[in-house]
Amino acid sequence: MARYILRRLLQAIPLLLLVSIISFFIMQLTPGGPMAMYLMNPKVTAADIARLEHLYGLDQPIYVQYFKWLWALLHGNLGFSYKTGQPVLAMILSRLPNTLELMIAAFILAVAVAIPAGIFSAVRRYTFGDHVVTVFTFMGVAIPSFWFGLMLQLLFSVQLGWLPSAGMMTIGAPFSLLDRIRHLILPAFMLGLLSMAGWTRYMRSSMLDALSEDYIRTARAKGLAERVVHWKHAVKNALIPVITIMGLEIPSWFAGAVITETVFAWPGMGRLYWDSVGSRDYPVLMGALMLTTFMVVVGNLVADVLYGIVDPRIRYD
Amino acid sequence: MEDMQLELAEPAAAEPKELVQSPWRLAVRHFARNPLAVAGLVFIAFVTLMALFAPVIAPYKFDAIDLFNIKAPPSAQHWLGTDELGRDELTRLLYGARVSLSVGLLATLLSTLIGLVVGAVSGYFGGWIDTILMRFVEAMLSFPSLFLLIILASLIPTGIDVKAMVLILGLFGWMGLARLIRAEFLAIKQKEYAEAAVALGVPTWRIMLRHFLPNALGVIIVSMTLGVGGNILSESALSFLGVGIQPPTASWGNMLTNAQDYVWNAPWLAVWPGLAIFLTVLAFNFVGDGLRDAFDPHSKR
Repeated sequence: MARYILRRLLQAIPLLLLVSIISFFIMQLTPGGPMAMYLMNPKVTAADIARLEHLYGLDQPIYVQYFKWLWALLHGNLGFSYKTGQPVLAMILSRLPNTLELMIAAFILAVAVAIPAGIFSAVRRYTFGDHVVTVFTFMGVAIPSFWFGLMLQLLFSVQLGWLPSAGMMTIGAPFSLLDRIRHLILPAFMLGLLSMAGWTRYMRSSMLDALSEDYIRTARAKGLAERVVHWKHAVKNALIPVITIMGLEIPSWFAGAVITETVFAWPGMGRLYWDSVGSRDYPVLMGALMLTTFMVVVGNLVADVLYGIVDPRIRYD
Repeated sequence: MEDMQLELAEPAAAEPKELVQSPWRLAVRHFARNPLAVAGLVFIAFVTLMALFAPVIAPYKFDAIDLFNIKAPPSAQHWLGTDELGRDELTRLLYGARVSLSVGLLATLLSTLIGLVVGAVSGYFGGWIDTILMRFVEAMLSFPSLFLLIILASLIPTGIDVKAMVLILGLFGWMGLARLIRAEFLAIKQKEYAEAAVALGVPTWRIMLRHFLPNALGVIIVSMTLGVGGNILSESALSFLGVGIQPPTASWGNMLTNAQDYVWNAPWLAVWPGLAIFLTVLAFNFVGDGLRDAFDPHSKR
């Protein structure tokens, strides 16, 4: 197992390199370079820009810049923000917990709804309840997530006034768990909705597959109660493919976080990324991209390892 | 048990007729029995007509400004209200349909073409070509592409137009189809008729056209239908963030860019474009799902 994990992590290195090269070179395409925006300030002259570019090493050839960046990265240094001068790693790490909090809440919400709904739908196939669940999953997949977020704000914040529409906590108020949870509900629902709908459908079809297996017939033939057959035999096997899907969806969760954090003014990594695009703060963008890709790799790996725990037939070698 | 007896009782008369039907006609009949899919198709036809005839139907010019009615609620004069510049919301919605639909369709066409070529090459040649291409596909898939799209979109100094949007979405949306096509291709390669064709010396391109394409057509059509919905969603998300189609061109996404600021005092501005996106994407997904069932030889009835 340890060897398998190690090998997978080693395999991720070419991927991370590829991602870093692509992103690095795309950023170089910017007309005028990252400092060009300072030219909008009438007090900044071309000479100032040239001095800044020299200071940041931007006057060197692209590949030299890239290798310098890579060399620093290998020493655990993601560089310094053009905008604030802070170390990029520290900036990202200060935002990361907020994004993770949002993602974990959304994940729990999505699993808590999707798995039971999928099981229900499969067990009662072609009944009214199944059709209702199916229509809801279609709607969940088709709804633009940012608009869903807006509608949540419109309904629960503007019209009903039940929940706050932005931020992580009430500013100036002392820490209170209830306050944090109230701020978390709407963004978590927005971020989790797409997966909630998708996983429900996967769970339904995977449960249907499991229910048609021979061991289910055996279990029924033994005279086990239908409830035991479903929960002990079918659900466990039906979960396996769903777990893989969950792992594969991790990239879209980071994309979703950018949009969710924008709509709900959530001070996470996505918002940091979004703000850095606006200010052309490339070191921060590169750092966020690398960290995101790394977490995607790790997420897929966790999904594969979990796969093996749920299904003992799978061997790692 | 009851079901079986019922089926046994009546079939004899109907059977010969069923046999004559071509797979395509069967698929059409199958599709026509799916009410959600048919409803979706009707809705898509409706939106397409609205988009095509927008200049005729729209009550105002697409950038006409009514200074006396800024952020006006829905009324007889402006059915869906007006936006922050006093432009008629219904008119913008109709013109937005043109942009959103054409971006969705063209981007899907582009990504289908790329996916088809990559998948076919990978599946047909196999070996190291396959390995390299599939590694590349994996890399692209594990990449949070929205991050790159945001950078790309923010790079274009004049802002994004329909063409740029189509390129961006098309170039980042082909991986799923490439995998499907490759799998389809590998499966067909195993079939006796493909081996026979190779043994007879039929040229590669001919095998691809004659044997492979007709077999994979179902997969392609389904993935295209679902792709249009997906691309409409992506366009709207990018435009919402402000890095998509630039005003004054209206797209359903960029009509929502400022909607968040108006949720408090002009909520209808946030409602209509989103509803249009939602219903259109829903319609495409219903149709795609109906087609999948219709093309699936395993599905009964």
